[in-house]
Amino acid sequence: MKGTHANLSKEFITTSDKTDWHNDALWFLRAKRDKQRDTIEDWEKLRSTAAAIKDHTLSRLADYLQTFEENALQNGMQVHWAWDDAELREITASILRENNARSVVKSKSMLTEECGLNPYLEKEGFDVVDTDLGERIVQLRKEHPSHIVVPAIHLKKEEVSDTFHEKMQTEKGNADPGYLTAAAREALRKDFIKADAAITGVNFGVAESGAVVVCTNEGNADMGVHSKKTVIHCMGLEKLVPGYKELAVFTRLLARSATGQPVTVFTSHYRKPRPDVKQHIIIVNNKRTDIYTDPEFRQAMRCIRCGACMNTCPVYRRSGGHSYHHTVPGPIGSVLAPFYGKEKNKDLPFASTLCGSCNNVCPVKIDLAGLLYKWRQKLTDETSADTSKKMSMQVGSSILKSHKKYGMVTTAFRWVPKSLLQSKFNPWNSKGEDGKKARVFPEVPGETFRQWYKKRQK
Amino acid sequence: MLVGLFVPCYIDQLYPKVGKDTLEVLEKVGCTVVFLQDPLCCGQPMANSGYEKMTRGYEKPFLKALQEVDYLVTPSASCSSHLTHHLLKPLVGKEELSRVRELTEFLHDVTGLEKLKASFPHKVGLHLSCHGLRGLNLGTPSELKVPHYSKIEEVLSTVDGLELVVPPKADECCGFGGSFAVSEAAVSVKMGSDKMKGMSMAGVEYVTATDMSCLMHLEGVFQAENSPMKIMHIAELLNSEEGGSGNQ
Amino acid sequence: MNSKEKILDSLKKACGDPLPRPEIDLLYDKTALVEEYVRTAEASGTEVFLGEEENITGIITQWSEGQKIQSSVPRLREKYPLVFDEDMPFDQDNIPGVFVAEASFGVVENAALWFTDEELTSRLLAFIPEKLIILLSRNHLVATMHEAYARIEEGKTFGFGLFMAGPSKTADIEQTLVKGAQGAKELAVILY
Ligand code: SF4
Repeated sequence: MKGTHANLSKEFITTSDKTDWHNDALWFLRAKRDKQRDTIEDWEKLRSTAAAIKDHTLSRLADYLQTFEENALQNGMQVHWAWDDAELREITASILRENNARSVVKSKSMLTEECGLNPYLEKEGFDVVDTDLGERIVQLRKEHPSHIVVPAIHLKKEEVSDTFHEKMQTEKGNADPGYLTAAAREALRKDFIKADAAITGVNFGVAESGAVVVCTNEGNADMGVHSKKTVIHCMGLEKLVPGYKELAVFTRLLARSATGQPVTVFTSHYRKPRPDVKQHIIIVNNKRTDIYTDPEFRQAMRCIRCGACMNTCPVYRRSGGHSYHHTVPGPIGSVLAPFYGKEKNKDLPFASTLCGSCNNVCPVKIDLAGLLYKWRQKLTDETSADTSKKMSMQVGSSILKSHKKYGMVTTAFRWVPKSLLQSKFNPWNSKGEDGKKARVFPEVPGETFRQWYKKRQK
Repeated sequence: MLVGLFVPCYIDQLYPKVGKDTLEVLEKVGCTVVFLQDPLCCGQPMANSGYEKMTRGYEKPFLKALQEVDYLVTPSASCSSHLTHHLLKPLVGKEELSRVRELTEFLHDVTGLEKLKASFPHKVGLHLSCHGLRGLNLGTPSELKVPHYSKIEEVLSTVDGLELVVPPKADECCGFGGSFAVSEAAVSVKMGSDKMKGMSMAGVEYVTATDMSCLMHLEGVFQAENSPMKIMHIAELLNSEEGGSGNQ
Repeated sequence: MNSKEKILDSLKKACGDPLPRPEIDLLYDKTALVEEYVRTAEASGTEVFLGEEENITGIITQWSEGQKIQSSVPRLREKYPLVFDEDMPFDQDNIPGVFVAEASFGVVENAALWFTDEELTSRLLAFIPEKLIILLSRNHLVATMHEAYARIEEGKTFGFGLFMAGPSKTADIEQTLVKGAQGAKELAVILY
């Protein structure tokens, strides 16, 4: 299989010079997160409170969604429900058409990414401009975000400079981030002026007030929302919190976990539209009810998409977000991905050492390693198995179950020529980029512990 | 105290000295040790690969042993963690589970450290293996805001002359991960090689851990990259008499 | 069944027993210290002036360096009239060079300032000018987001509510922090 995590990550490691740099860039976020953690005395309790709030909200999700809708309607918002990605796309397009909107400015939303909104709208003849700088960069390059919070983290500034030079005629070779950001600001200002409608994602929906809350550092969501007459907020149905009291817990956790800031620069609460503005909220399912129905996996719906599990993940940091071939990469992505296609994503739960670091940084305490372990058990049952792996496991498990076989293998193992154990036929002796052996198999000692113990007892 | 020693398959086959040292350390602290002949493997290699179902029956010798000994001790944090978090967890109560212990944890929590006596006059780097740290809580992982403790450091502080170094990112995974080491070899080796760099920057001669599997992987990477660093399981350190005034 | 019914139905079928709404009972220092606010604000890239009611306009004039000033603060409106027009939001003639508003309150732990339509008059004014000057009374500081949202809950309902903590920023290009991504490039707070 070509596009598996193993192959894609190998490519990232061996053919780009980015691994160490990427690793450091993400570790920088993890380190900043640790610093922010230390400013809060009750950090661990804050996390468990957040987890409990989410579990409570999920246990009454249908009620909270209804309360949310009632309040939002009362506030003058229009509320839509989308069963799946296709319906989200259709509802969005029809709102835009009804309001004669041809061009759209969009702020960051992993949900619309998941639902393939941009390509659809473009195909339907709309202009869509992503306004978050990182997303704009990947959009101009016709790529996908490689991280849910810092979408262009896989790109070096020289690459951004080349893209901007080509698409926005910035100075060739000028890779100063300040210069490039200013150029993007200027270009995007024009897009903001031109656009007819604004689309945003949603970080939190507050059931008791009917507000949707959007967190950004750039202010790009608000630039669109407050200047357009047609506004659409796309919200995954798991985004609800009961009230403001609970929202406080999450606004304290989100940015600290994500980028190591005490809070995002802008936390915008949209409750009532401005006069003459049509403001829509689309509540999206797209398989979330499947996750909800599975009692083991429901906790994955606590996720607030902070990205902390990616930043800490030793595999993600070294393999890059695109190696996960799913909208959401990293540990939480690998937990969610099989819900969107078991066969095509069956490698992802195996793209982890189950080290558990993600569990410990997750602000809502999702047992990510535990869920990956669970997926492994399910996927070997429910998808076409890798036969050689299955066979070797079968052989291995039968040997380890039987003393007779184990004894035979012990003897045989000591007959295997050293040259074979050290050869390329032993998968342990992985090859590095230069074709040299990257890991050596240990020397096989003359006697096992068992044999020694037998002698000792005599 | 009667201790049943479980020596996992790969230690039995590839690192018998770790088994011997564990046995001797346990005897040193006053335990009566029987080697558990029956269990060959905790089932982790299969289970982590998604074939937990192939390990049905693996629990039997462990359950039997638990009835016969006071404690079941093993020099492998990941096996201990697999036994207590997966294989035996649904089958026995808390009390019985708490009688399954990794070596360091057992020495720290159960026997106490008074009788430990060893000497190893070298600079040793500590790799905090994931299953020991995050699975068995042998210390405080860097992600959490909790008061610091380290059972491993305390246990190793009894070794004369040993200069223990806990380098930055000591609790980052080494990249072994069971079948991950082979199926995701590129990332696995890269992680091992980064671990090696961290250790070698810290200027250590040896790297130790509570898990031989991590160390086997690291040893493989050290050798491939011609690093002079060597690996030593924590049991080997606790049973070393190198350069000591001797406890013979 | 329409999608709404389908969604609610699936959720209701699977929800299980409702779990209680948790108590939020966290340990932290509830005193709101001015010095601590100044520290977090500066860390967010905000310039902080410690002023008095009397010298507010002096600070504004000095910091604005001759740019067009507009204000939504009732007591300053006469001096800095508001000409921004929501219906022509990008009309350069109407966009203030410097916009002066008063925050409803500020949060010490993260330097966030709270505004609603009432303080902003036009929502876009918090984003579109290049420079913002925010007045904040020393008596209007709270320690954490917990007190902040308790206050919001007690206060008047709002149509738009905003926490702003520092000037607009991005670190999307190689993690290099750049001020002034889409919103204001500079933010000053006059703490009086
Ligand atoms: S799983 Fe946890 S750490 Fe990962 S993105 Fe979601 S909330 Fe953040």
